[in-house]
Amino acid sequence: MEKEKSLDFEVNLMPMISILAVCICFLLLTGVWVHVGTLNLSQAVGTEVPLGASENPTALWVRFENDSSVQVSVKNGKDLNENIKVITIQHLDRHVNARDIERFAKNIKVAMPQLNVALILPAANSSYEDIVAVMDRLKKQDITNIGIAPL
Amino acid sequence: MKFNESQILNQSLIQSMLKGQSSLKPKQKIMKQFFSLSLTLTSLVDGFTILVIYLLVSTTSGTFEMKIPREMILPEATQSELLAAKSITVRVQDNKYFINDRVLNIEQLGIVLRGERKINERIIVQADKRANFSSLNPVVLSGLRAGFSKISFAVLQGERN
Repeated sequence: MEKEKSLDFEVNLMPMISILAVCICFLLLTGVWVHVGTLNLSQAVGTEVPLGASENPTALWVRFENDSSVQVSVKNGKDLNENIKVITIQHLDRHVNARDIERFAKNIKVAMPQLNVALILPAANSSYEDIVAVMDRLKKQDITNIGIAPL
Repeated sequence: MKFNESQILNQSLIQSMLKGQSSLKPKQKIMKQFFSLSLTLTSLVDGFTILVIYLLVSTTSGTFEMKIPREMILPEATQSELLAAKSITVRVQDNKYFINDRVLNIEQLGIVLRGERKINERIIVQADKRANFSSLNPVVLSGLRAGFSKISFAVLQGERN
């Protein structure tokens, strides 16, 4: 009698596990665990004016003082109450109080939803971290066109 | 030869596996015990495959890489955007300015940026978060004079609320 041949198909998993282990080690070593992004500025150069923009758009000016306090003001805000056009925000533990700036920007945005331009005027000793924090808070309030005035 | 009836009965006993493995009072002959550890390799392969797929997906996000010196701590921002192509990175470190690891003074910086304007449309400023704006000002000013209207600050992506 002829013996029936077995048709079982066996896969040797050991080489597959070895290959996967090598792939994992390689990806762990080359993987990027810290993601870098960018905060974009919109600078006006020469006579460049963004398309569709009016000559003097309503803008939020954020002026840094030497003691880390900040004066926030609204320029060309015709329909705004005079009492909320300018505000001085004191520093918080020698850093700019970005949270209060955001709160002010939020209130202005409620009164003027079309506001999306801001200009940051830093002082020479203004901390880079503070400038980025203010930019981040303004972008959170949908103020996307942020420029920075050089010294 | 005389057969012992008990011998016949003992030989024809159905062997109990449990009692045969008993080491204290083995009822049958002491069998050699082989201890073998069997691994279920299929689930291990499944786990490894999932790990590889996850690492592949997480490492291929983003457009291009940026070299950051070890001692430099970038500021964090939640509203950051992905690194864009066609950009030139200017690193500010210890009041020195670097483009492609080449140290430049302020005059050279302006000249290089004017040359780069034809190829790139954006400047990415890479600086430590503890720096003052006075050290970044030359880069911003030179960039504006060179005709760059798009300037970005390199930041660490924070968690969005």
